[in-house]
Amino acid sequence: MNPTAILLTALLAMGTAAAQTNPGPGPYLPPDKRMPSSEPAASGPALRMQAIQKLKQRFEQADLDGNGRLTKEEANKGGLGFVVQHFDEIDSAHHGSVSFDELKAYLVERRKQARAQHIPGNDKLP
Amino acid sequence: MKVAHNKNTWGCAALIAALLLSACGGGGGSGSAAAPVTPVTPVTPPTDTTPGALADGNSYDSSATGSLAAPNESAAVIASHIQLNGAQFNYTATSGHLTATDAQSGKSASLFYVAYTANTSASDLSKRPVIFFYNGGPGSASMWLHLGSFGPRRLVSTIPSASIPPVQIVDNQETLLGNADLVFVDAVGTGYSQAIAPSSNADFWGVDKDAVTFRDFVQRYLAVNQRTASPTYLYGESYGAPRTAVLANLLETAGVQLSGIVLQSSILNYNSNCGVLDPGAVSCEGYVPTYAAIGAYYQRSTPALPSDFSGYLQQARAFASGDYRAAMTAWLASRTPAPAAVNAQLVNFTGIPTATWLQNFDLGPDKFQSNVLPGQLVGRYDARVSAPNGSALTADSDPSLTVVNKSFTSAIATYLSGELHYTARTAYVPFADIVSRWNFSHDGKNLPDTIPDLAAAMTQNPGLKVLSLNGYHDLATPFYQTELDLARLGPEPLLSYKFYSSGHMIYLDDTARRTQQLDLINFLTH
Repeated sequence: MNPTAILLTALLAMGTAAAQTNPGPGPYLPPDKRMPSSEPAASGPALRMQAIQKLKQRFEQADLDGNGRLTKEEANKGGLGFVVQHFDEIDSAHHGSVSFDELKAYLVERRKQARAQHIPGNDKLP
Repeated sequence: MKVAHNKNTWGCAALIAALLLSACGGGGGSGSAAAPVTPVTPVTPPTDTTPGALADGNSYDSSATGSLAAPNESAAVIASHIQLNGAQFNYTATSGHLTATDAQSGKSASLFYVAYTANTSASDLSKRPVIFFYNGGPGSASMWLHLGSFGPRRLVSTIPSASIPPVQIVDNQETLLGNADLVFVDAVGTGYSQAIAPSSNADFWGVDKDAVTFRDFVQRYLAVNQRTASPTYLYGESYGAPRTAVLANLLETAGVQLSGIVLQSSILNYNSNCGVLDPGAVSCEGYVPTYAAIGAYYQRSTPALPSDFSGYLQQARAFASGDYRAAMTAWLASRTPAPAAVNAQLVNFTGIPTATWLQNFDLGPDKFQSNVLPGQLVGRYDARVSAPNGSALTADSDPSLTVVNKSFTSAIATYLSGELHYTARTAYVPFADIVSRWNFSHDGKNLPDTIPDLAAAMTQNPGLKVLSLNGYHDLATPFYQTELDLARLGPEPLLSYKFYSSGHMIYLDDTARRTQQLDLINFLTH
């Protein structure tokens, strides 16, 4: 090994050590946690589906009687303040309860309108 | 109550501050008869006689088993002022705890916060924005943002100079307090934040539980302070960015409509950042434009001084997502050597010799730190800070951390007791080594990808503004990787990016912080 190679090896070893010492305020993973997902990162429609799934999961957790619909009380109990606040708008058919599809339709419509009107983000909606 | 680590009880800083106060007459202490206390025992804590001061009787324990028996929601409430643009600006500094309780699980934690509020009428307060700030780690208290960024008082930093300046706290001309009220909050097990019995700290050390606690804290803060009508913003740095994505979704679902979120120096998807993973696990494409920016900073690039820096970086982005990506895909699949032209381009961007790229085509940021300047180590948090190998500034393996770490750690203790007049029976914990205990799993993955959380937040709140702040010389959370992660959202009219000639803690650079303040005021007001 020539001196340059030795120096290079030493430097590279040092670089490896750097990742394993004081992490400070930045991100760091201990060796046993370095297990990245092999799934490709979702984008476009697949990502929107994942986002909707997250909401659906919360919806289903709140659906205590498992009838596929949430009353205002169920939504409140399940911590779904968003559904409580927008209940009458989501329940446009006045069933007294809302399905996930109705919630989804409401979100899609609201987003469409917002994009058209550029709702300023710093205005609190009622 | 269990007496835990009796860390630095009544630290030297608190003692000095108290002595100074008594020497100055205590600054307006009440005139009522101060009964002479017979010194029965020498451990009697010094009394801070400043109006509004709080001597919190609790001991806080940052260990995994830390479990607070008797939480309180007391706070030191201190009338303060700074000189801002030549005029006196009055504000109130509130330092203490609020209890964050998850209504679903019943688990609760006592979170420590410092809030700065402008002295204004209650009706004006309902219109003033509130910004919640927190650092990341996981394991970092929020002292970096608190003392370094946009609070009313700031610790002097001389980044990118490779020297340690004297500890000096000054009136911060870049404070955002003129535009918003500011709340700096510490995660469980950091600062003075702790789980409440029967839960213990480790119960909150995971992506999801941590975010739930922050959600419950934000709701508690807004309710207690009657700020539910105020425009609400989140500001997370580093791991604080994925925390923000998860938290924003949780808050929107809970019915707290956010106005905007600031993602500074983000690691939104741990699966895509090669710097936190083993070498050869994923592509380092996201780092290539950062390598090019650093190469140009040290004039190791060809050309040494790009005449058009943003054009140069655009070229680096195009190379990263083009020829580099193609070569890396083949290299990761079957260790196919990269084409000579790809190695040559990497040499041009960085000055790192061909031989190094031939041996380490997937050169990660740790190796880059020790290879870009012969005989020197450049900083991970700010690669503009460099120091000769083996010198004192390389002791933490990151000279850009060494030049600020001790100053922040000592200043936060002095500042809490001496200026905010909050003391507890234990020392503030600026950093807790909890990352090995952290549950990183989220949504069925071992490591968090929080872009779906962000998408869910934006689905629920189509008016949510998102601002991504990035330092060109940050080797921990590279700007282009953040662009790639956020690009997955598709076109979003309310998502914007800002870039600064700075590192991970962007605000530690005086010039960057001034620009950042203007960008943030613009973000708050539009």
